[in-house]
Amino acid sequence: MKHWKFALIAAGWFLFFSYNTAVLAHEGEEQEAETYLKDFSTNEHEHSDTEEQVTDSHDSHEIEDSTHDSEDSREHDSHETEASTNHNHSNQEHSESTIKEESHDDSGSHDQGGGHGAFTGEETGPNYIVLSSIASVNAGFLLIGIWNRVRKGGNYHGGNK
Amino acid sequence: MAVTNKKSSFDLLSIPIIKKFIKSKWYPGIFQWTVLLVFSIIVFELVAGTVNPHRNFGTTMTWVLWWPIIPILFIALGRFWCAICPFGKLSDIIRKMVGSERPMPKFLRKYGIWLIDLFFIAITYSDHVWGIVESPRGSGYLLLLLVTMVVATSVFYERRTFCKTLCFLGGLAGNYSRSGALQLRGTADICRTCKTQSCFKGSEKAEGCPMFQFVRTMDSSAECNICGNCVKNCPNESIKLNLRVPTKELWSLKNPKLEHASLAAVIMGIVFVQNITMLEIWGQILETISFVTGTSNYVVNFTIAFIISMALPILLLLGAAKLATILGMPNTIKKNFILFGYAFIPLDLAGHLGHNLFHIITEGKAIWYNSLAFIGQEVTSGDLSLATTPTVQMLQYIIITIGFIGSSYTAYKMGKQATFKAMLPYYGLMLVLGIINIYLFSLPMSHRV
Repeated sequence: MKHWKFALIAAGWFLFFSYNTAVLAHEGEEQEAETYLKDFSTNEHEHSDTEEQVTDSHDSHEIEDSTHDSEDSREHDSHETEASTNHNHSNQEHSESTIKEESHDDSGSHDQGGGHGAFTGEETGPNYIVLSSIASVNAGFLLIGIWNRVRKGGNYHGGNK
Repeated sequence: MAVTNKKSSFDLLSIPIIKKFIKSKWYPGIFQWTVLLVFSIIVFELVAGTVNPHRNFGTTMTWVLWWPIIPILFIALGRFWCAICPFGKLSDIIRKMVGSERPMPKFLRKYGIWLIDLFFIAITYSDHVWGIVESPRGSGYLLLLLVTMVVATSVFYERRTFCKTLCFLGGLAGNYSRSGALQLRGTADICRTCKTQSCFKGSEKAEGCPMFQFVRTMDSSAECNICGNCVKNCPNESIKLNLRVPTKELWSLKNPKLEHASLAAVIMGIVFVQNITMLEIWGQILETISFVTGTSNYVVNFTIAFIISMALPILLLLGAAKLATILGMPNTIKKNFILFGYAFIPLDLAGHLGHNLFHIITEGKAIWYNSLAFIGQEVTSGDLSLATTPTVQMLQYIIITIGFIGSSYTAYKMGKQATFKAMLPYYGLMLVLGIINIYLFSLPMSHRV
């Protein structure tokens, strides 16, 4: 019985690693597809406006579909770039934030503003109005607590330690 | 009497060093203060640091590290996170300093779990509408809003009223911990004769159970934080901290509740929403909805998609319960709906874990880079991924398969008196949900940072 278990686990690991080796073998091709789509999506985005974003993403999807003939691994990564673009479109369109993302670098690099999407928005400082409002509300509750303690002379309700 | 006297499961408290540590004043304080310190830094970074989510230390630590590891913690350690949660510690501090220690209001006692469900749904919804995850400031204000709720409840009410009745994570934590691998219980023979009840009332060693649990009657890990107070307080060495087979608690539920079953179904819907909105097809779905509604307003269209996603698992479960009843399952449709709703939990966990695995693996190095940047080290370049997308997808498929097996086996154990024919709707439902999850994971997904 133990041999069977061992064989099953070994077969599982073999499949897992052999699958990944195949993926790694095509890593260069993935990069090419990624670069191509990155360039394409950036160009596409440059002449899109907010109202046409849904349509744009749909159009780019159609073009992106044309790459489906390529190998699976390439297909996954090209989709991924596109998916990232779509997501950023949604955020741009619907967020009340002033942040704007102009390009969609999905290379996974962390330099130049880094991460999975380049950031070109304006840096803003803390919003002291919001922070002081929250602080005031909390301070108010704490004052009520202190007042309750003072009023009861430190003997508060409840036997729990 | 819900305590246990089984000797088959391994008791972690039988290891002297663990027992000594849990009984010491260092536990859970050493973890609580560390987490509170990190939490303070994170909040500061979120509200005052860079507004670039890719660079913000707080965003990375919250949404790339903490959120994905939360389900893993619940599976491995039950609600241990709740014991060391910064909100919980803040509640402890405020209660000790200025708390009135009034009893929990009846309204919260009765409807608390529904409020938890509501808050969880509301936070997920508002994240999609206002982009909280992508906005450091938004995340910071959300945390500060939760801090305000903690302060308000702790000033007035006893123990951890906020954690038990208002924390948005409470329902999720409870449900996931039910299928966790750790359980704290008393020893039946000892608890039966106990006169002190100090596990609930507290003693000079520690306060009573912060989650209002009485070990003698506690039959679930859903509301046990593993804070160790009962271990410290018990004069009879009755408490056991046992390892158990994950999902075992779900096999024989004594008091299943509608709110828990509904939450389990809703979480499945939330996992769908989280997945779908990060997929390429999301644009097409929005387009289809906007064609029906006649408006391109995102909030309107998203709300419709959100409601459908929430309702779909509930309706499917209801349909399965009705079909099972027709096919000879004992009990009413409602009872079957409630009981078998819990069988969703392993699949929920798998879906949640699978979704977040993508983020932690494909964006994992952001934690390292942003931590380095936080301490002033210049980060020149680097790939954020820890593994390739196909590797992540393979892991996701494995996790969903385990979740499917867990859910199906749980349903099988729950329906022990039912025939295979009567159980078929549930097995079919689990299979459909498993396939939907696998299909969604097979599609390319966008990143958080």
